[in-house]
Amino acid sequence: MLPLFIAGCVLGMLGGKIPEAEFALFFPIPGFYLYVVARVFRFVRYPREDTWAFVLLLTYPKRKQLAVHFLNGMSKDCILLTITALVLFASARFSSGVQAPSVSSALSTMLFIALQIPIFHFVLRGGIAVGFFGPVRHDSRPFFVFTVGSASFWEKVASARIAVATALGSWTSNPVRFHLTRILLYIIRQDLFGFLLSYVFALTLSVLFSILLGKNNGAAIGLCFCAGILFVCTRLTELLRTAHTTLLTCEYYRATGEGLNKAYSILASILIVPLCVLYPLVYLWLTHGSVWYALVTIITFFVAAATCLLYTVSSWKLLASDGITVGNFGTLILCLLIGLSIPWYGGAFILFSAVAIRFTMQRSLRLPKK
Amino acid sequence: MEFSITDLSYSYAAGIPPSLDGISTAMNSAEITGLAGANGSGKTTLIRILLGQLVDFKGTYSINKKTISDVTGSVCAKYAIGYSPDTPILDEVLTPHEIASMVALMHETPKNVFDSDIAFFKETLDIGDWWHRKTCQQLSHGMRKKVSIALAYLANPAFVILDEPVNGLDPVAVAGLRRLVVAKKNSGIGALVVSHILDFIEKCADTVVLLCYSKLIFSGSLSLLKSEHPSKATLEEIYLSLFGLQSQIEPPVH
Repeated sequence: MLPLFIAGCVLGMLGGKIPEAEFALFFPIPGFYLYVVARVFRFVRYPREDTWAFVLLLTYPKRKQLAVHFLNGMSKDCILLTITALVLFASARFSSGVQAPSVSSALSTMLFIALQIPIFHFVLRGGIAVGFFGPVRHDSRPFFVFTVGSASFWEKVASARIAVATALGSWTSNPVRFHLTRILLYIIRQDLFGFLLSYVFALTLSVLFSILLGKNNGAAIGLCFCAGILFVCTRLTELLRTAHTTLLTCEYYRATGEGLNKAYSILASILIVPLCVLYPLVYLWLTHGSVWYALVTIITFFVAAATCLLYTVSSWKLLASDGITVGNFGTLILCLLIGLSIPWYGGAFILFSAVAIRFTMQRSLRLPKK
Repeated sequence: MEFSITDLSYSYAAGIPPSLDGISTAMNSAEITGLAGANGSGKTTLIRILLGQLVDFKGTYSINKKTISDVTGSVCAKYAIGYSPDTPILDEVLTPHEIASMVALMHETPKNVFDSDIAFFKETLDIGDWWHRKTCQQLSHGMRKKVSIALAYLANPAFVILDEPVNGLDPVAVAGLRRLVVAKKNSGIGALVVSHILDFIEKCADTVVLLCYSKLIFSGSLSLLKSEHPSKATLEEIYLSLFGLQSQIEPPVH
């Protein structure tokens, strides 16, 4: 009670004293009822997963009754908050001298806010009564009962997820298709938004840093884009380590690490294509150099991109066995820097360096046999 | 598919008593074989040999009259053997339905076959909407067991090895599992059921293999075993009478 009273006082004073902050009064009530909807949805529909353990023992009609009680209680709390806020709002607004337009404006604001409570309350109450928050079709308890005839929402979501992953991987042949679909499922299920965000982040930052740092400097532009490629590939590496470890331990998969390696390379190649397309455009736009010089630098860049890919393919295997060392990483970055600063034969230099690094790591690159 | 084992012995290290000692038996896809025995009697060792995980055994092990020592690659993949281990290791970040879809994709199972298989597993094993909703790391022991059994039977294997399939299952699912195993046998997928729950074996198995302290006590049809012990009404009673006699033997020290 006390926190609500204090919150109401703060909101009322804020809205009354500062006209620009009046909008803050509109948010608490919808927020309150949003919480009520989420809570009711959870304990009526999924009693096993609710933090109130006792709801597990209640039947569906009892849970509906509980939901109505909960709604009533929350509405009372909401009324307290709103009345406190509106009283303070009115006293703060009218104590500072009232003029005709501001009275009507304040009254309409108060009326709008006050009306929200009965509207939300009765709509929700009606929703509970008509069974809008129905129980799950198939309760996971052993003595389940069927309550809805059609396929559940989760079944549709699961089918959609699998359909998307399968469609994206359908153009390859087995066993690569199996691995590619599985990796895509991992991304969709585990890290879809994080992955997309980081990918867009890599593309945007590569262009931005090139513009900020690489004016008339081909090597710096190349390095920015290489860093973007490395970032994208490294982001996949962690995901692949989990996928690879499970592949070796899970009894039901009869696939080898080779297919996973190919699937990874295909996926990483697809993801770095936009970076490789952006690079020459940004390069030509910024450097104003000769076309011949630009061409050589672009070739260097593509070799560097391939090197990054080769390196990260190796690195995820290393991560699965011995763990990547700072020395290996540092050596590659040094090679990239040197290579990109020598446009004519820099690409070859990077490639030879990467091959040398890979061969020195050969012993730890071997995959365990299933 | 026919499995044949003749005079099979296996020891995990030189100088210690063997885990399996001169076992001879046979199994095939047309029947369900129950394997029972005391703890440490060699059941797991026998399964590992059948799956091709242990290879340096003495004696002969052949599938479809082809000696396993001549087979290159995975025995399970080559002969389409499904396996449900006692403690299943699953793809923890995926849901059971996603793993099943991946297994079907790996085996290139047609969609209609996959859908009907999944519907049958859901019905018999009493699988709820957790199949689509929960990732494997959120599943209980019983749920994991159900997933493991369903995956073993997926992609149409020729034979299935079920290690302690009843562990963790509720009575409804146990009854359903019995129905599933028998239905699959009728469609040509035999099974080796390893269990300590003799009632389950008695109700679904055609033949029985009993092990005691690395040795074979009995191998043959259940009806033959019962006819040899007319005074005993159930397999459990027969087992107790057999193992009561065997308890006079000193167990080997491992």
